[in-house]
Amino acid sequence: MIKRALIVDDSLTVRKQVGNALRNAGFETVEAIDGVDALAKVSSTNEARFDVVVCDVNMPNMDGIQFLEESSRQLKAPLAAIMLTTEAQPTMMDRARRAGAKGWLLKPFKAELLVAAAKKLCGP
Amino acid sequence: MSVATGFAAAAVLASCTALAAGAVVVLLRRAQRRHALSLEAERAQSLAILASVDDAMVIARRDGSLEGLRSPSLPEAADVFALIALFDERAARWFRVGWSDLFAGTLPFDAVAQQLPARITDARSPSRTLALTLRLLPAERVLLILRDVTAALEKEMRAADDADAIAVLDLAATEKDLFRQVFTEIDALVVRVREWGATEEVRRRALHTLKGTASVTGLTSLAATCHAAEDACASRGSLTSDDIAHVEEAWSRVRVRVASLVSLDDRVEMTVAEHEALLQAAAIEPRAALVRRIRSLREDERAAQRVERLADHARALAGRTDKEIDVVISADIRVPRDDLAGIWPVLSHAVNNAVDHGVEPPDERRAAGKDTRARLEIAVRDEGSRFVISVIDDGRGIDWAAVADKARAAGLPAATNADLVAALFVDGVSTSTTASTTSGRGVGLSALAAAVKEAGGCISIESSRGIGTRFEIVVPKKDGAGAPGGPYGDVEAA
Repeated sequence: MIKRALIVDDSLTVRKQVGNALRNAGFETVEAIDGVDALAKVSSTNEARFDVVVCDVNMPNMDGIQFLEESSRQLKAPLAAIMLTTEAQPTMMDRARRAGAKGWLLKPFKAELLVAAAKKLCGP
Repeated sequence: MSVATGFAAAAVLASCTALAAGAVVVLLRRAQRRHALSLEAERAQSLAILASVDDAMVIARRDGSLEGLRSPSLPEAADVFALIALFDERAARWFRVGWSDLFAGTLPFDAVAQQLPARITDARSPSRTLALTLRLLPAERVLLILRDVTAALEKEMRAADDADAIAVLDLAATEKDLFRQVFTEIDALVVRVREWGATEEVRRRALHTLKGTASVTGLTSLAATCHAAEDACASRGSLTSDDIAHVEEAWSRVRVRVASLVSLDDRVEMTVAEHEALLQAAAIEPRAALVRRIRSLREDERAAQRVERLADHARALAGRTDKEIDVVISADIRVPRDDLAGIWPVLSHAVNNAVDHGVEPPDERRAAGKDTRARLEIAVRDEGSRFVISVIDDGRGIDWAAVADKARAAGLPAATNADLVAALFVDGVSTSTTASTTSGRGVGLSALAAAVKEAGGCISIESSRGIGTRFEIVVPKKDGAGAPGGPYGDVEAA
């Protein structure tokens, strides 16, 4: 079955890079420009659920961690997420972890790493 | 068999068993002793090895507990987190959060390990820095290697300082005039960062401007120190005395090596073009005008040398961010030193913004149907009673909607174009989400606005999505007539 990934980042460049890498690896991708947009996309009823979320932390309107917290409150199960960060702090990552983040990558990162992690999170 | 013989037989049997058991026990004890001896010998041998290498090592298990064998130099601790906390509490917090990820398998071990602190400061002797390396061992065990890198770092720092000193010497040799200016500017900024009584905002701006001036001048080590101080300030919420001390030290290390050059200069410099213009003027201009012109050669500085520095800075920045730009400059005038003294140091912020946020990467430009090479124009004009500086790029333009969002989030008005332009100049309102070494924290433009306001000038911005941004700063001449507009709030947006 084709795996679906949600890419949440306010930078078009990052969305493009991540999107290309994931699509080349056989993922179907949906993009969101911030937490609010992402929340709308995960909760809209027509969409099948996402197997993995690749999510920036620092974004306007609603940041990545708020988005994960909010979505795990709204959905029954938390989303499996990989966080992308520029400067990481333990407290921040601890919150992200509790909201479902399974790993984090510091920008700039290697696309292969991200793809490998996304595949692992999706399972077989 | 009689009862008596039966007892006797039992007694013999029992004593035989006792004898045999005794022999086995003796043999076992010997074997144990031999084994214990060899274990002890092995342990002693391992400890001797551990003690003779500079690195300190210990093995941690998945649950964080530590194995018994460890370098004798390591202090006792309940687990790996407690051990690291003895050196560096902040790093230990990191390890508590990230440790289980090492074994989760989502990312390869090395990728997770890379994101844990690789350097820790020894809280017990703060000038000591330790490098921390993790290696995955079989059976979910992790080898932690601690190495004292203080000396190596000092050497690195000295090399960086050397590079900074060379950059300043190079400037002193090629452009003495500019060198003197920059030297005094940096001195003043370093003082301002420390200034008691100044608000946090003023000090943060000074720090940011210092970073800009340092990187324009090629003082990469000083710029990096400023950036680290800004980082620390961003994560803690305020500038600490330590951050400031690091910046002061970074500058004073360079300063002592070049200070003697400041007073060395007793020449007046002019370009060939200026010399020719002077010759022509001598033939036709009235005496008073000619005297003014000659005096200007000594008292006023060439705007071009300032702008050329900015252009170099823009090119270097574009190179670092994988962008392609052509920088066009036009600044063949002399400017009284005082008139734009406050503006030059902060002008780099406008250039940073143009290159970092305005100019798109080549791919994006191609996709938008533009030439992959962006054009950046930096110009300084003399308009009689005032100087006009413009920084024009043909990049993506300002995302006014994003500015409006940020402004509203910061509780600022965002109804009109003027509101939005004003918001651009407020501390902390940046439409960028990542702070790079050059820009992104929203401090730069506010520093620029403050400097322009102090010089009695005004700023205007015209920007169209996809087409570019035109940034114009108007500063009145100090010698006299015609101050433009009102306060800097006199801005226009289009």
